[in-house]
Parts: sequence; structure tokens; C-alpha cells
Amino acid sequence: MARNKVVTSSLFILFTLSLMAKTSFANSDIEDIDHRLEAIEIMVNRFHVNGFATVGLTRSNVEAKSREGINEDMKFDRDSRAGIRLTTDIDDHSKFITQLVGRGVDNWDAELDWAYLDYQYSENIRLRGGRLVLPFFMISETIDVRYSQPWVRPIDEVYGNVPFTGYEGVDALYSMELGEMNLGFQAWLGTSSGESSGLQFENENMYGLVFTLEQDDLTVRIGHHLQDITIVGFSDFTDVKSEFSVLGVQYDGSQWLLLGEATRFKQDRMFDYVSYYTTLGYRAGRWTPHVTFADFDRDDGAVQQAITLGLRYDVSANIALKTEVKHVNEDTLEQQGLFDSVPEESVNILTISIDTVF
Amino acid sequence: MKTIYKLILCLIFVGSYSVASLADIVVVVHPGNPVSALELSNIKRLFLGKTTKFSNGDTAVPFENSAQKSIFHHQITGKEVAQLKAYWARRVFSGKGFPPKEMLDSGKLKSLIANDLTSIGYIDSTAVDPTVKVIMILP
Repeated sequence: MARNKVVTSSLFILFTLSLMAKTSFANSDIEDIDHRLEAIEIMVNRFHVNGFATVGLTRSNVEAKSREGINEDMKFDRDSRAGIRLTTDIDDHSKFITQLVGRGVDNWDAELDWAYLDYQYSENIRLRGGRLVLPFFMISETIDVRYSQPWVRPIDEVYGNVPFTGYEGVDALYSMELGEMNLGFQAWLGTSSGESSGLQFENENMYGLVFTLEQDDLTVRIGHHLQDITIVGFSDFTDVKSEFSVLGVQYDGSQWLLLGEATRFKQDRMFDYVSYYTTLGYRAGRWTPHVTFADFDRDDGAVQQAITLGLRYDVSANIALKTEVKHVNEDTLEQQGLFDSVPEESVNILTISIDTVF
Repeated sequence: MKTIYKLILCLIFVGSYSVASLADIVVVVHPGNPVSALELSNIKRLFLGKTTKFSNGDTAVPFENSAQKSIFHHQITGKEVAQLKAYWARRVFSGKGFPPKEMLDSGKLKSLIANDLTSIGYIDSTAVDPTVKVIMILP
């Protein structure tokens, strides 16, 4: 964790310095006010600022805590978060991206999630390096931007399984158009660390490949990733070889919305698991009712299935109001599922949230 | 609930009908642009950032027109404004690019297109003059 911070802060300093060097010309020899305004406009146009925020209220009917951290106590901090993304054009081919996110669950301590250089090598090839987002899922890069999703929060049975979201490393993206299709290939390499249920993870030799096909409103994404996982302080769990495969499908039509991802995690020493969900939604003007079936199945016996019913209402082009009930039937739970103890009865998690992007 | 829903549907319906009947929307480019007609799918892909080229391979830079944005997208990309916003949020925050620049003033948009060979936009058909070339009349 400490190493991450050093890497990200040195990247940030480097970025600031390069920016100062680039903009110092502005004061010299510009007499004409029009030229000066133009110079300011060019400078301002090099920055793109985008932000997002979510405020949510949630609780369930049982004492057992779900993995999302929800039980019968009403909570404001589970889903609430705010982030800001700054894209700075360095020149015609390079830009630097920084994204700062503060989450209620982390006491709003803002973290520099991403800080990377994006270099357009040729028309089809982009290279990136720095602190990047692990490209495990179709929605990995926008997982905190709740406005861009139909649900109040990403489906936990699938998206809650990976305790690390970022990595330090490099990736290469190749994209091409084939008739009305867009094809994308991504190869990445790096190291990552994270914390989950009080355990500190250190991952090395991480690499993977992702293939994406987009045609009209349909997107299909296939990824395969390898990594050596180490849990700090457990000598048995050092450099455990693991692989992670993901298939994602999205259809974002005028009326119907179909979204789903399936994952399989295999490794040498601990348990393996498979998980998937399917969401079907229907847009009727500003209203989008949706239903999701999700399944998590771990080979040490923990199984959880959930049905989520939700409704999204687009208040304006920047604000969405959402409400959702997630139901976990106690008969479908094996062991304690993804709860911290066996729930006393079937669980209903109720959530209301407001999402915005700007 | 049902009445509210019907009322909203009615408003949307009446709203789009009355605006559409006033005038057609036309897609325009620079008069010197060799492209004389574009397929609907090419225009859709341009305005969704899925391509950056006209069908002949030349660079294309699309511009949105605030006044007609919702009708244009309803007809061309099939996306309502909020859905479009969510679509772009996914692309912007995953580094896939930014939405086309949106012009508040149709007159400025027209003069911008009249002076830039790569630009493409849409305006009210009554505003068309020889400074721009019409390549599509919205269905």
C-alpha cells in the first residue's frame, strides 16, 4: 500500500512539473489581447474535468452483514462516493489522466485511483502506463460511476469478489473498425495490492488479454488474466498461481437493456469459484425498471443467489434517482453465502440513491 | 402511478410531434466536402464516437446542436438524452473519448461548418444556405 502511494505521488509530481514546463511560454511576448485570450483558451481546452457522485441510503432486515457491509442498521456511507477525473492533453498524441475518488466506506479519504500517461502511438495503437484500473470486468473502469449503471450498486456476487481494483503497470490497446464493427484487443502487465476482510494482498506477475467486439448497441467482451497472489503474513499463501476468466455481454438498445457477466476464478491452493449475473431492463421514457439474477458458487461450499428488482428514474440528463430491493432467499444459501454469519431469515436489502455525473 | 405514466407518455408524444412538424432537421457538411450522402449507420457511429471518419476515409469532427439534440438522437442513434448521457459517462470515465462538442447557437454552428472541411452537424432545414451542404434529411 505504501509503495503504491509513493508511485502515485511521484507520478503526480512528474505530471505537474511537465505541465509547468509546457505552460510557461504564456507570459512572454504576447502583446495583443486577442492573442492572449486565444492562448488562455488553448490552455483551458487542454484540460477536461469530469466528475461523478452518489448519495445512497440502505438497510436490510437482518443482523447478519452482507458483503456490501449492509445489515439492519440504516447506513448512509455504503454507497455514497464522489470522484473527479482530470484529463490533460500534453500534446496531440499524449495525455495524462488522474482520477481522485472519495468513498463513504473509507471515511471519505480521497484516493488517487488512477494516474497514468496515455500515448496514441498510431491510429490503431494506444499505450498506457502508470497506475491503471485492472481490466477484469466490462464495467471495471466505471465501477464507481453509478450513474452509468442501471443498479444502485454493482452486483456484489460478481463484482465484489476482487479486493483490488488498480494496478501499477502498462497496457497496450489495439482498436480497429471492421465494417460496422469495432474490435479491440488489450494486453496488460503489472503488480497490484489491496485489502479485503482485514487481509493484505500483494499480487505479482499479473498479466492478461481482453478482446472486445462492439456492433451497434451490442458489446461482447472476453478476458483471461493470470496472477501470483500473496497474502501478507501467511507463508502458505505466497505466490499462489491463479487465473481469472470473464465473459461480458451488453445490449444497450432504445428500449431493452441486457447486461451480464460471468467469471471463473481458479487457483492452486485455496478455493475456486464461479459467478455470474444477468440483468434485464426496459426503458419507458424516464423510467427503467430492471430485474437481475445473480449467482456465486465457491467450491468450498459457499453459495449465494440473489434476485434484485430495481427502478431507475432519470430526473434530468445528469441526475438519476434509483431504488432497489435485493432478495436473498435463505433456502438458496449454502453455508453463510457471502454474509458474515448465517442470516436468521431470508434477506431483503432496500436501497435508495441519487447519482450524478458532471 | 398509471395516470402519471400515461401523462408522461402523452407529453413526450405531443412534445416530439409538435416540434418535428415545425421543420425538418438536416445533416450538413462543408460545401467542399466530397461526401455527398452518408448512410444512417455512418452518422450514428460518428455521433456515438465509434468512428472518426466519413465513409470515404476522410477525418470527420461531429458537432451537436443543443436546440435539436434530443430529436436528432431519438431518430438517428435511438437514444434519449439521459441514456446518451449514461453512454458517454461510460466512455469518458473509461478513457474511450469525449462526446462531440455541443453548440448552443445554431448560427455559430453553421458558420463553423461553413469554415471547416472536416466538420459535420445538424441544423433546421429553414436555415440552410449555400455556405453548407445538406447530406441527409432526417427521416
